[in-house]
Amino acid sequence: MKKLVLIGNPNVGKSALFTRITGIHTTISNYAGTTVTFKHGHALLPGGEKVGIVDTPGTYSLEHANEAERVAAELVDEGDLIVNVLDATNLERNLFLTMQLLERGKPLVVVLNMFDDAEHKGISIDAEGLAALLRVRVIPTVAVSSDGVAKLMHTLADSAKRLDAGEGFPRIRPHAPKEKWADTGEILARVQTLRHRRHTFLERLQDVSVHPVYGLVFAVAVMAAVFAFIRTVGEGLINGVLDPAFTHLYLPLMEKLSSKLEAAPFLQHLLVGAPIGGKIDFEQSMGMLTTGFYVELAVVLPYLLAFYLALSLLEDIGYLPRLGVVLDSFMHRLGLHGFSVIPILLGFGCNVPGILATRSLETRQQRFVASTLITIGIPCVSLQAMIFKLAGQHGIWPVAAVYLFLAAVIVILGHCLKWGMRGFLPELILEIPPYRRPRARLVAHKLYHNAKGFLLEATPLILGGILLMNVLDYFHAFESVSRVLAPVVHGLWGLPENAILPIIMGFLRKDVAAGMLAPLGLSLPQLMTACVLLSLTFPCVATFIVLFNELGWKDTLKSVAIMLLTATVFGAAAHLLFQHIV
Amino acid sequence: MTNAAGEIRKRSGRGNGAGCFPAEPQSARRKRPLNTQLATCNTQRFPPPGWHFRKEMLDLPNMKENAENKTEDAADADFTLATCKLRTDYRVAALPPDGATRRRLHCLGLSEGRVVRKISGQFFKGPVVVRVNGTDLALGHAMAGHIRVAPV
Repeated sequence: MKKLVLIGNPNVGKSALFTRITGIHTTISNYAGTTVTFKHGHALLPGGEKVGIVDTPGTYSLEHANEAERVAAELVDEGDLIVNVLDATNLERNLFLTMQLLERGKPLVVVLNMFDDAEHKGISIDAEGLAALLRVRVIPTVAVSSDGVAKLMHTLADSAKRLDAGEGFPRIRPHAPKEKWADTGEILARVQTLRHRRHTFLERLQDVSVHPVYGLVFAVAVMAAVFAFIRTVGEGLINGVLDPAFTHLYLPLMEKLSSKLEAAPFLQHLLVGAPIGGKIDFEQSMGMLTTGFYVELAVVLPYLLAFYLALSLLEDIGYLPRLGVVLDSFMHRLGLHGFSVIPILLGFGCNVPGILATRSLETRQQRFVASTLITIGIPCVSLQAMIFKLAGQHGIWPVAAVYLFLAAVIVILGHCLKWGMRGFLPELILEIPPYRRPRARLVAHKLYHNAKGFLLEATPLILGGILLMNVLDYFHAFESVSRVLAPVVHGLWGLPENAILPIIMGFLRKDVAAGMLAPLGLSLPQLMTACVLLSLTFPCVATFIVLFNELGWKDTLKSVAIMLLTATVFGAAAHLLFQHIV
Repeated sequence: MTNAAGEIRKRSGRGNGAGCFPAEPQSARRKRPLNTQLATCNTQRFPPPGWHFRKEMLDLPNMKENAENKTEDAADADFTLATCKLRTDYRVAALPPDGATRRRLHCLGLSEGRVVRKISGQFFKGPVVVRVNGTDLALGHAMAGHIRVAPV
């Protein structure tokens, strides 16, 4: 089976094209570095031939500068046919990579993607003229709306036949970069025409959002709006839809089940949980069918939907790289550069994609620092939902205090890591994409896949976690552990001894762990300290596996050691601070 | 001379003579414009001993070629991307000599002779945003300080 490799500069629409051709879901966003590893799929070409398609991370050149680009450059050698995806709005820069591919003499098809955007920007490209000059097939496409994709598939089928027939593909002599730019300039002069047009509102907004003063104001306004949006939508869904649905429709069913299981108390304890004041309490009973489903569907899912909707909009509009520019000076103080803002923001959704996104950072040191900061100081959306639910009952300020404390931990820890790991910190070189209007279909698609991923991955872990906790609790298995760790948990962190159970359970699921805090009857300062500790201690098992894969065992051990030290010290600090301010 | 002074003289001697750049009389340095003098000081002091063995630095033919062709531009270039005015067009006169950085900037479309416009410069030596050929690029302040530009 032939292997077709999609390659091109970052943020030119390779993943969108891959999804169109193979039907496999990929994450599509408006910033360079969305794809950090390759994805493999299959497609049937017109004529019935089945081919393998590989989506690669974006690269500016075959001489790679980071891990993601190295993957892309290596895959070029493995491909039978290279599909070079170009951004039609920036043909000159994209042709540099095309020249490099032509130098290698690989069978090549050129795709002029975002052809509609080019027209809107007043750029006309003669695709046939370009094909004649490069001596390869050139197909204009709009991957997000499928325009030109059918024609591309026919072209790929033709090229596959030419490969079978042993026909040669053009190869150019190796050029120095200067010669390549000269040739590119000449090609452009022949095939591209520019029309004069006025600046649009979005273009003016682009300049404002990287302004040293207005950009900062804009960033604060955007982040405040995102926070307000998540809280309003999340709470609206909970109070307006899901909580009433659970109370009026699901609770009577559970009460019937509970009365039927009275003869089998162990089963009742596992499935329905312990009655609180003689009644089932979805937040505190801790049964698999009560608290398990309630936490997942009526607490975490609404906030998760609101968070990913806001993040998808920011990603697709193209604001995140600009936030990176505005925060670059600050991030340098943590031993990172501005682009690290993107993995950190992704970590607020789930730590796993956040850690994977650190692959776009240039040095191992940066990847270690960013991954450690994400696993320690960034609460995932599940934990955040529980923080909102538990601490939010006492007003907005306890929630804000927990977030501010975690931010302070990140700053202090970042400084310490920077000081302890003196090394080369590369300068920021970042392409900033133009603002684009987000497409409702793409945003809805992303939201659907994030929700589906959460429900499929989290359900067995949540139910399994509650089952395990109930079994161990039923047989009093945690009592000895609680006694051993009492000096730290009670003496240092000011929490009751049995609070160690949720903290240990956090390794399985953070939301379950936070849910387990509810029946403990913690005071507000204790609750806030416990929320901080749940973020600072071990990440959940999925994050831990990814951390191990990305950093290797040595750096993972270092990261875990830092994590334990941070949790011990800052847990005690949180206890002292919250006790005084509340 | 104390030991300490001797050590200082020794370090200074290694930077000027035994490294990759020939020593030059101090009087010649004084006559140059200020920014050229700073650039010379930086290149002589910054690379560690043995720097010329780095792979990136072996890209000599290209560097020479560019240096020869851009001598006139470079002579007129009194600004860097870090110090030039906002919203004014400049032509790139010289890129940093480091091979890997040069290649990266080349790939992003920033090469000698290109017209660039600075869009913004962040406070506290933060990144500089420039527009090249319709694309916005953010460059670290130190790197922008090594890209010399001349007014168009």
